[in-house]
Amino acid sequence: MNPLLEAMLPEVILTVAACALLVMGASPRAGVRRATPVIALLALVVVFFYQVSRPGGQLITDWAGTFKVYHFAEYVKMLAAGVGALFVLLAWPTNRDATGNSALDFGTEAGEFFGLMLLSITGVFLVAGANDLVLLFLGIELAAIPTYIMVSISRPIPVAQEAGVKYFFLGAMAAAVMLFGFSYLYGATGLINLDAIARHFRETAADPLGPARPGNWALLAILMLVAGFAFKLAAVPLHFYAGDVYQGAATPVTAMLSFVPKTSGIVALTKLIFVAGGSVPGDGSWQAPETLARLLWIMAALTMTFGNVLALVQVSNIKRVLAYSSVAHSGYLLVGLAALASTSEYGRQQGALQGVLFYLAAYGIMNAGAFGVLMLLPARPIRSWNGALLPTPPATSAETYDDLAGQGRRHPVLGLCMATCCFSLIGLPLTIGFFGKLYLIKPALDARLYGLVVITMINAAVSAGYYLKIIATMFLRPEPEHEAGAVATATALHAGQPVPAHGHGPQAHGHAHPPLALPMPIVTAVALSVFGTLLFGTFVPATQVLVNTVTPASQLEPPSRDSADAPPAPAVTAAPPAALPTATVPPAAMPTAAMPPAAVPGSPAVTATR
Amino acid sequence: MEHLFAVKHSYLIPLLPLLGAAVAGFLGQRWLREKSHWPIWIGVGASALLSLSLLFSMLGMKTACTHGNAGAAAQGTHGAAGAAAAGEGGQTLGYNKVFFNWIEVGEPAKAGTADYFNAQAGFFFDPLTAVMLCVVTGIGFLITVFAAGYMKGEEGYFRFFAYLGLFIFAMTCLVMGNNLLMLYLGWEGVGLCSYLLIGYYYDRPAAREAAKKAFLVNRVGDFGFGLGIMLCFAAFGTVTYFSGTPQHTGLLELAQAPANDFQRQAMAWIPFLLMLGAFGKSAQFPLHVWLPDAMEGPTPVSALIHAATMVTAGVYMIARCGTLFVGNHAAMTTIAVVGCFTALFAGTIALRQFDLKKVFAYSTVSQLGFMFVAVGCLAPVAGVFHLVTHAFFKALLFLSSGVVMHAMAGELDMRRFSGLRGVLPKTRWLMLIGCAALAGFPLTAGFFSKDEIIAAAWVQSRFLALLMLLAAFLTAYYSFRLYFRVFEGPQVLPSEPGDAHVSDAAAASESARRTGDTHESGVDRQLAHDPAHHAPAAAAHGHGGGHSGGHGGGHGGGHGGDHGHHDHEPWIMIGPLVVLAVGAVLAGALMYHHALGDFLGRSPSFSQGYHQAARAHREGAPVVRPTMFGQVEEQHVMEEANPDLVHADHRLHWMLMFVSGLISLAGIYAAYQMHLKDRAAADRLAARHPGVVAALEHKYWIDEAYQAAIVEPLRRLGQVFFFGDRAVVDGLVKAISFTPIVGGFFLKLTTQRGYLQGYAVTMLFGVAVILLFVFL
Repeated sequence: MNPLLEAMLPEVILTVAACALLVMGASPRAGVRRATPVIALLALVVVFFYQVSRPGGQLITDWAGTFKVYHFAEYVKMLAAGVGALFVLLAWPTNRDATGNSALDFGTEAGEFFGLMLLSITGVFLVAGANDLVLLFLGIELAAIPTYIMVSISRPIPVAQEAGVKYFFLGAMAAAVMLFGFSYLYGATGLINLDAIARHFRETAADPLGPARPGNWALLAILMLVAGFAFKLAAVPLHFYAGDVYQGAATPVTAMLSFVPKTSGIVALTKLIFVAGGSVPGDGSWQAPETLARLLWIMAALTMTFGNVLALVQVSNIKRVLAYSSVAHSGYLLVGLAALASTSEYGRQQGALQGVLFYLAAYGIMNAGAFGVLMLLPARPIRSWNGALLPTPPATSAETYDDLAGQGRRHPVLGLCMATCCFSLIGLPLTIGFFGKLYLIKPALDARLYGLVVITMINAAVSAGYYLKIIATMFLRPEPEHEAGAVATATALHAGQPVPAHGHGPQAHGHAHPPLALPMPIVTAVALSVFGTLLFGTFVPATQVLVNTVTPASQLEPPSRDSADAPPAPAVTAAPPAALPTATVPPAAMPTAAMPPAAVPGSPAVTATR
Repeated sequence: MEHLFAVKHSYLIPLLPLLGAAVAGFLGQRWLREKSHWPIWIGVGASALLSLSLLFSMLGMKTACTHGNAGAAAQGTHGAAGAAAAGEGGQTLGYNKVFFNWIEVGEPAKAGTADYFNAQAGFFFDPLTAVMLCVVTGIGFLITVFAAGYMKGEEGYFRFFAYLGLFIFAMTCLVMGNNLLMLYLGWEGVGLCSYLLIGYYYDRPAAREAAKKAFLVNRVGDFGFGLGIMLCFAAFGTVTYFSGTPQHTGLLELAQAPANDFQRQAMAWIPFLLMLGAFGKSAQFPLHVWLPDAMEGPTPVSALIHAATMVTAGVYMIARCGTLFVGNHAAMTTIAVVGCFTALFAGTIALRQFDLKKVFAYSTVSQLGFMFVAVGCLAPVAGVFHLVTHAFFKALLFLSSGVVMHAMAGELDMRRFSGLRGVLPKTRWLMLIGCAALAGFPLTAGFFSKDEIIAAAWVQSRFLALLMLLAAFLTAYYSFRLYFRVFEGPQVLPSEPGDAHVSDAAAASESARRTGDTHESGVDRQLAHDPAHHAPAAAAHGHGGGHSGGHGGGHGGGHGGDHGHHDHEPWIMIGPLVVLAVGAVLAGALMYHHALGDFLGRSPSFSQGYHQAARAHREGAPVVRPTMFGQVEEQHVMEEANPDLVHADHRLHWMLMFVSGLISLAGIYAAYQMHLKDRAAADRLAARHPGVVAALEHKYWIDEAYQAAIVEPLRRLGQVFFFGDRAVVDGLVKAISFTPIVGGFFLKLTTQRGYLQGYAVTMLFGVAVILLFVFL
């Protein structure tokens, strides 16, 4: 098969599946709704294993240079598909009418919901493969726009609509800033191909060996792009939406929001750093402009700190805590990117990017588990000011500290799962989160970002403050007094039955404590997540496998022959055969009209022959 | 030697008890319950059999070697085998069995320097190991059998046996290890087990305190021991005893000829550091304080750990590392002096103790002092000999007192009972044998071993020997004081306070005891009042507590039939005691014709130790007798050169035997006078010397001195630090941890207010700030 088609097969599969799902969404029948998650899951799992089985190590571009797939993109696709499968499991409709589950209620829109989810993941795939400003923008927005809709349709309650609206408006604004940046970049260089822009920066640098020096207009464009990507990352100063949106959205959607757009942002930002640094294919030495490095440093520090302190002061809602913690984790990822931007040594750049990619995987795995546990535990009704028990809103599972109180002792296994995920999110040893932080901090130290490392460590300590509070709430806080009666009342309320006056004692409902509903898909997602967290954290050979996967993935393109300190060729694959048919055309024929004549012949004969 | 089954599968010796411990520990609570002793019996029993087979095959090998079959111990498969023959004559019997490299650091090419560290998981087999193994596993097995009867029905039965198995594992590692690190592993392992077993009744505050005390006091010693091992490594680049190669690169081989100044200086320090560990583990002054308190543990533990095996580890270590010690005159003198002082000091304290186990505890400390005198006086054979005999009779005594305790429902105060020969007829005989052996009654095991030690002391210093004779007298006195008071005389049984049937006699003794009457006469005075009333059987009989003791005279025969709902002397307890008693009587025969000495002398530790000592002697160190290192042939050589010496030595030996026999009898007679014939005599004597009595009863105020000099200041310092920690460090931490919270609230209230337009404006402001970076 055509290698380009092979490389794009995941996108094709997901898009086809998404279209099918959107069509299925028109059907009012529950049976069709029930089939939708199966298709989505199947598509993602197939893509995941397809990506796992792909040898990689083969540069694939299209004739226009719009699309470029190497280890990096392959890895991102694999990761997004794998974690995306967990999100499908979390969002699995488990109730009788297949309209949602304990924390999600999309009504009859199951087809649309899962179709949009697949489209969003496809967006990440496109970002990973994009080598062109237009495709990059398209990919980012494809990853983002479906999520606006998903937030709104995830719960039939006003707070979700509000979240959706806020998310949409702010996202549109950030997209505008980003698009502005793209237009400036095009205006400043006259190019849309990322490689070409990088080469342009490299060639216009005063010192050919020193860091690339984009002109001021180009730099302005880069800064706007950083701002635009920062929104996807929920990085300071564009993190404001995070709390409201994450809290308002249904829990599985929140879980997805904290990973999918973030991944697209991180991938795009990585590409931007490479471009701004003048990373020309075939020439390993590049360095990002100092301005960018400094900006990333500051953003990383602020993002971590703001995320953590805001999470620390949340007194009730845990989804909001996890939202801000997600902001903080973006900060940690930015530490890796700051390290990437601050060094010109090939090996260290590789290390930094490896750290970022590892952390993405770690975060994707451990985060899903934490949200999954929240979904498995029921919400408790709240007492209003006059002492009456308010009904639990629909599609609401455990969200607050009160909901979690004492649940760890009642359901020790769930408590331990939550504890594992939280320990991992803190970065305690024997969990994947520990290795994630380790691999982030090591390159930062190598890049001499000592101050940033110190701030990271302090932040890790601060984060322990609220993660441990979650665990402590589950295990140490007593269950609220009215728990027994309350559940029954809430159930009754929900079922529209007459409610007895408040003040009835628990003795009226002596049997109380209904057994926990444990829908299999959600349990599977939690189990997979906790298992992965522990497996990669305690079983060193497994960690090594992940590291070995990440190591080549830190290459956006084949390493140059002359970079002496390049790591050994990826062990996973043999070098591609010389005569590999790639769809490359002579550069002169490239339709990018703005391609300067300096785009020398031969150079993008892109290395598939290496 | 490697073809021996016991050597080939020597890993089984520690492993089987460990497996037993694991089975008992993990399955005991839920499944084995009352059968938890079985895995330990099997494990320890099997390793005892292996040890015995090892010992007997080695005995056979010894004769083979003596008859000129030199170097018979062939090359081993692990390359570290063969006869570790001493350079200077004499065939030795030693075999290194290496399983794998336990800790290896550095490049093997740099072996022998401090740049390469290699501690092997390996065993060293020589006569010393064989003897120690037999003591540990053999006596250990008897004690586990006894314990099954003694501990019956205790809560945590499985736990007790799991600990015992773990202990045997650690102790066998200690005596079998082929390097100092293995020794240390076992050393700390037995320390841990000791801690766990002393604190076995953890709901009792006294037991908890005692466990802590034992652990902490041992830390002091182990600190020195650890430093000693490190210094050994720093100086000689190895911690393995004997290399088993012709190059003789083992630690104990290198130590004979220090090659440079550093090694010479290290040799001056190493013995003192190692000694510290030995003093801690073997409870020598001033680190003896933990052993008497350790009697809080169950009695079999006292017998096994705190009398027979663990506490002798110090003696074993010094005997094993002979070449590190014997060249250092100052160190040997220190050992001998400390040993002698401890023997006397603890012996005097034992005179005025009333708790059976306390008496034996101080007696143990005192006897360990004897052993230290032996090794300090260049007579390790005598030390090990006494170790073996002591293991027999002290285990016997402790277990017998366990029987008494069992029968008296936990009562061990000898002021509260008397004349138990009617109640516990078998125990009485066993205890008599044990006391006789301890007292050094002629022809018992203790007599021979103690005599060896005194002879060794005589060779080095007459004064020391006289002091040791005094200590022997004290030993004889306090052991028979105990025997006469507990088993002879009129029968008195203890009663529980508040019992409706309390007899007058018991009430009187009880009130005397409770009013803090320090005279040991609660019973006696009452008896003096009413000599006819010496059968509180009717009263004692009704006790529900389990000591249905007073069968009066009728108990002697086939007991149990009529009132025997509780058999005081079940065979599961008495059986092991009988074996031990036989040992306590006959173990002296081990030394017949220097058999044990000759056997031990085949150990490279002993033969090389002797040569080291002889070299030191030529350079002016004290005289050394080859027999005391088991070098019988050397002795013959020496005797041929100097017949007078032989004569003098022989005469001296006989004379000392005679004298020490007399001394022992004198002690027993004194005890008879004071504690059987006229029990008031002891009180009269005590009344005349209140100061002495107070000193003895307060154990010379050593504990109080430690409390005041070390514990209290440390506690104060700790309090100061604690408050500093609270106020300063915690305050700082709290202040710091407050910062993010304040900052977070500030952010939350200013920026996270939920208004879309607010967010948008703030975000745009942020973007503007980012764009300003262009000017950077």
